[in-house]
Amino acid sequence: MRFSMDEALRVKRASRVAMTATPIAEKLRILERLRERDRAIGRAVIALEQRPTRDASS
Amino acid sequence: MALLDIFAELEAAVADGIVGRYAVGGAVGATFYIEPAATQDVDVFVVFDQSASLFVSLAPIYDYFTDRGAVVQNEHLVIADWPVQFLPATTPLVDDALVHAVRMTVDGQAVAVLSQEHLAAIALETGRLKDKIRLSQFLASGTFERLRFGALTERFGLTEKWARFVALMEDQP
Repeated sequence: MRFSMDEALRVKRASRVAMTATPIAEKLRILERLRERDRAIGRAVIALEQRPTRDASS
Repeated sequence: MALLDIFAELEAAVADGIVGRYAVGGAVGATFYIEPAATQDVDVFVVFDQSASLFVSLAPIYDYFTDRGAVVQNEHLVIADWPVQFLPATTPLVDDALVHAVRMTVDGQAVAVLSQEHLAAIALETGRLKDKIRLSQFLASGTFERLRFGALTERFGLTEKWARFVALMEDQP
């Protein structure tokens, strides 16, 4: 399937219109979920960075 | 919902006389009008009685919320597991934004939020990339009052910034 920038922009614009009409309480819940997602990603990255690495000389 | 708990705490601070006037701004404030954009904190603009001092002090706000269980974390107060940043109104635009803040109710909880035209003007004034994105979303929103926004840009010396933003947008598809 070929990527179409026009189609991507159309879908994005439609999503924005729909989201503007979404009840505020629902949008705030989405905001909380977005933050939770970002925090989970942050924790995963830290865990990866703190994982013991194999000694390159062995 | 944690954000509703924060709104309840803000309303309590007003009722207890700690904060004269407040309004939620930033990404959380913008969410009342446009699509949600990920954020890690809550920006709260505040006005309080400065008659006793020439200096703006947030100490009474920090004392009040820490007594109620909030934790200080760098420039934030963590309330209901969200970092909340209290920003004193230090520019004429933010002052005006607080005067014209909108009272809303979410799931029965009252909260004051900056108007979308003021949020857009503040985004124009601040001018970071994320502010420009937010401003373009406000402009595309069906409820945005362009005349009101235009009056704000003129009143608060933002016409040059606005012209530059329009030129930037004209280059976009």
